[in-house]
Amino acid sequence: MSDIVFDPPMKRRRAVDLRRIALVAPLLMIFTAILIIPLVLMLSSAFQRISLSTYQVTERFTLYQFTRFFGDSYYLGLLWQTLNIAGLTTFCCLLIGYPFALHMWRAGPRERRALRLIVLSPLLISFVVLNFGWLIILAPQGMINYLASTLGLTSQPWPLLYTKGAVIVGLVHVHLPFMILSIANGLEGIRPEVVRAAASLGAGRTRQFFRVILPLSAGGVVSGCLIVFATTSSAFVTPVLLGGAWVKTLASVAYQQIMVNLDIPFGSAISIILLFLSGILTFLLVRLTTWLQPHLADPKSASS
Amino acid sequence: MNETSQLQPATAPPHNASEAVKAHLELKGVTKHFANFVAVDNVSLTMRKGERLALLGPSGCGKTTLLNIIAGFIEETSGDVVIANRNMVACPPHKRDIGVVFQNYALFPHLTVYDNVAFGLRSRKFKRGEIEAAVARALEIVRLEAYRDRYPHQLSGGQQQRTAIARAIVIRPEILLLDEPLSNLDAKLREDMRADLLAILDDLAITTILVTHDQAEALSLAHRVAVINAGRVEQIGSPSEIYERPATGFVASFVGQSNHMKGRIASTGSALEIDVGGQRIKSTVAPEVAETGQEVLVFIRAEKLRVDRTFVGGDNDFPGKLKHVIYLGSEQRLLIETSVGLFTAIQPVATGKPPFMDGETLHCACDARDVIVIRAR
Repeated sequence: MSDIVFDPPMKRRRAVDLRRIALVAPLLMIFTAILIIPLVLMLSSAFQRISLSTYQVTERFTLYQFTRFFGDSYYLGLLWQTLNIAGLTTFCCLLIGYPFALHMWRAGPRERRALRLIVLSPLLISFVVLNFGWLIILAPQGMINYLASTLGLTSQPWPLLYTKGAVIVGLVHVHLPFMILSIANGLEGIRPEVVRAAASLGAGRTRQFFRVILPLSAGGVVSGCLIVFATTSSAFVTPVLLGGAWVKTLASVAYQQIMVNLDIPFGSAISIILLFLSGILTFLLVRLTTWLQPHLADPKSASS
Repeated sequence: MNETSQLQPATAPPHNASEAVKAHLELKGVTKHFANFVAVDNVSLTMRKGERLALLGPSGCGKTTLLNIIAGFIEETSGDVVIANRNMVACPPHKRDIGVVFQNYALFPHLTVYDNVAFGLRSRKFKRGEIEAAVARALEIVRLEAYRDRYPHQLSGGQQQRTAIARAIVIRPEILLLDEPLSNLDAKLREDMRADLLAILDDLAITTILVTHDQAEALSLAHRVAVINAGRVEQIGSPSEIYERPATGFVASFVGQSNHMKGRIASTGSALEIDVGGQRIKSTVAPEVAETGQEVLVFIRAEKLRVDRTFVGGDNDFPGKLKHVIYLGSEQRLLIETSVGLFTAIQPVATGKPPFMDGETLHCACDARDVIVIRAR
């Protein structure tokens, strides 16, 4: 009897497990092929040294590429520039995105749908095209300068293109949807009664926002910042198109080292450094989320 | 119904002469339109200080909308809300001095029990020591002293409920609003919590409005009950008035389990006689103006019928065939097909008597004072 009772569930469980693996297998294979393998290759080449005249590997394991990077103020300046652009972009996205998401959250279902469509619209167009749009607007003979000179505001065209500002504008435009959608997601997890409760307890608009809405949407804010910072710190196309040769970032230098100078080890090392920095940042921001939202920290102790 | 009588409020509303005259909460012709739907239709009522009022009605009757209007979460289309002689028109909720216990409790998930309860006091800029003392007292009232450092998700449903109550009462609000306070709890816990809630409310003597669709909750917790239907107050009165003397057909059928019939007044006198499908029914519970020939609704409470194999005596006798017996342990429900319609009778389970069998002919006896007559609209 006991065999009959106990056997089927075990068999069934095994079948479910196999099916689950089958479901994730395609993605797992793609991930291994395009992420894990290149990453391992990159990691191994970052510790090599090649002769730049013969392109032969001269050393198999050395920290030369890293000492070269951190010993050179030019590269450290680039690192700072990259983090600076990514940080400013993230900050601008947050500054524009939070009020927008908040408005979207408070709006009725119809308006919310319309706003969501507007937010998503940049994603429907390739961001190369979006950046070319800014190129037309910011160029010396572009829209802004044309208007300014026609109105007699300036005789010399303003240098708008190929500046840090142009890069940030382009990056914010492309990355704003991710920020807004992340924050909106965080806000949607807040029950409207909770805000009403705060109001009934004597909290005015400001206190409602800082004590209830903001802490409860912190998860969305942090993940939005994470997505924007991680993608902008490794952004390549926008800095090249809107920053030209004047605004260099680590991603474009890594590209140059690998594709132009054929110094694959140094390009790999730059990429690894960039990856490592966004890894640290992710870790810190996740810690920040659990600090801001202690109730999400230990779901295991929930009794109901 | 037994539990209802056990849970009668221990305190009556204060009958202090000066307090009684002064209305603590006043609604004057409050109306709310949503697009082309009237959610609250010209509701007027007054409450004395310390009184507990239940808004009882089916879901969608507008009782929660009315509660939200009083709290200031929804703006009324017309009418006035006056709390402690202050007109609340255009007053935002955070300036109204109202404590609300929400149906889903709406605790702040990111704050501990202590910080949840302290929230209202901190908004009001109380001093640290005062907050500490008041929160400790509130947690003592709801017996949650041991849980002050827990987060809401670490509490059971009943504990969350008590936290919500503590958070609302700690600010000593002018008015306490309870929105379906017990509906999220399971049946057994609900009964325990109802007794707890009654004890807490009796202790505090805060003017309280309770919104519920559960008549046992309304009848047991409130001093007065307002039965609401389609945005309008059908009747407002003490629990026993609502139960024993329903003013409208809706109240009679919504509160308690009754058998209803349509009839016509056949004769008036010391007792009315109503003609229902050829049978004469005697009643001494008559509407104010009763004329011969007038169309009326007749209600008889299911528990007022005395059922047996022979007529056990009384003013009215309804013989009929037993269709079903629903056994509920402490009582049984008998469905009996009589000449005036299908009757439901609630009876104690008789011991020492052979049980009633389906198809048996039984007599339903009832007294004239238990036959409720309401004018048909």
